[in-house]
Amino acid sequence: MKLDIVSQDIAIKDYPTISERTESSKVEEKDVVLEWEFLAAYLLYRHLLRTVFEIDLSTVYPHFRPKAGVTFVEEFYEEAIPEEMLEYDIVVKMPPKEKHTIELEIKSIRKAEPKVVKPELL
Amino acid sequence: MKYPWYAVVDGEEPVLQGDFVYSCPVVIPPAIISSPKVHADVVKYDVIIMSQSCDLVEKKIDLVLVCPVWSLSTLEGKSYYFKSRKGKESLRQGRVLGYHLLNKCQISGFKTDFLVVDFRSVYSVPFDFIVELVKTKGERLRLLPPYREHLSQSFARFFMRVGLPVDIPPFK
Repeated sequence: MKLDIVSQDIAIKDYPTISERTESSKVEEKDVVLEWEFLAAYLLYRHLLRTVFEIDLSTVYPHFRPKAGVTFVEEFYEEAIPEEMLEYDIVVKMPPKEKHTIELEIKSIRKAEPKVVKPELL
Repeated sequence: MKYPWYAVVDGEEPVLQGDFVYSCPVVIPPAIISSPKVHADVVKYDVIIMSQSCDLVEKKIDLVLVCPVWSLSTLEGKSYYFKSRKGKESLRQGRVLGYHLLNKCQISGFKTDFLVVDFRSVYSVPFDFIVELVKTKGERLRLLPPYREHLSQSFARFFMRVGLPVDIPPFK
């Protein structure tokens, strides 16, 4: 197997490379689409990177740090309390369906005695 | 329908947990009784019986525990929280302390909206009194198992909750 040096990469001579033209035009289209998709993804990545990070690659003060207000790892992995675990303490005061006043005649007032219920045999 | 929520029973049937009693009167005595004749308030609620059926059937209790029942639409009119979709969904999932949601009743003559049982207002009425009361009212609605036991469990859970003054801090 003979190796040819192609730019920075090592290319195996007899191995068909992606850039080789084939007779099928569909494969060529796929190659072009793939390259455009790669380019779009790369540009989007760069845009997102600059949105989140402050990047300055100048030689004077090169730095690469998250922008103010951006936090990462801990928040990313912090588990939010699931909604289904929360309980709500809501009190709604409801008036009775009906209310009226009566006069009561007190028959007796006595101290209550316990009602003993014999336990059932198990 | 398999596992229906409700059934209608005759007034002569023994009272059980889950029985609805409409317009059940509850006497509120005055704080101080200083004379043989006093004035007292009588309030009426639509209630559901919470005492255990075994205690009722065996007549082991003199006082029957009942809780008021409200239609969901009535509560919606009183509370923005219950009017909201989130509030209703939390109620349905049993995550609103002190309240328990029951399904609509589709039985002809006994149709209801969604019903909400209020555990915070618990009244006791004399056993003999409620037995006579249900006889005078004729047919009544009854919540069936397992929805009845689900209500009972929810009631127990409300009363057994414990709030810790100093809880263990969350893990980070």
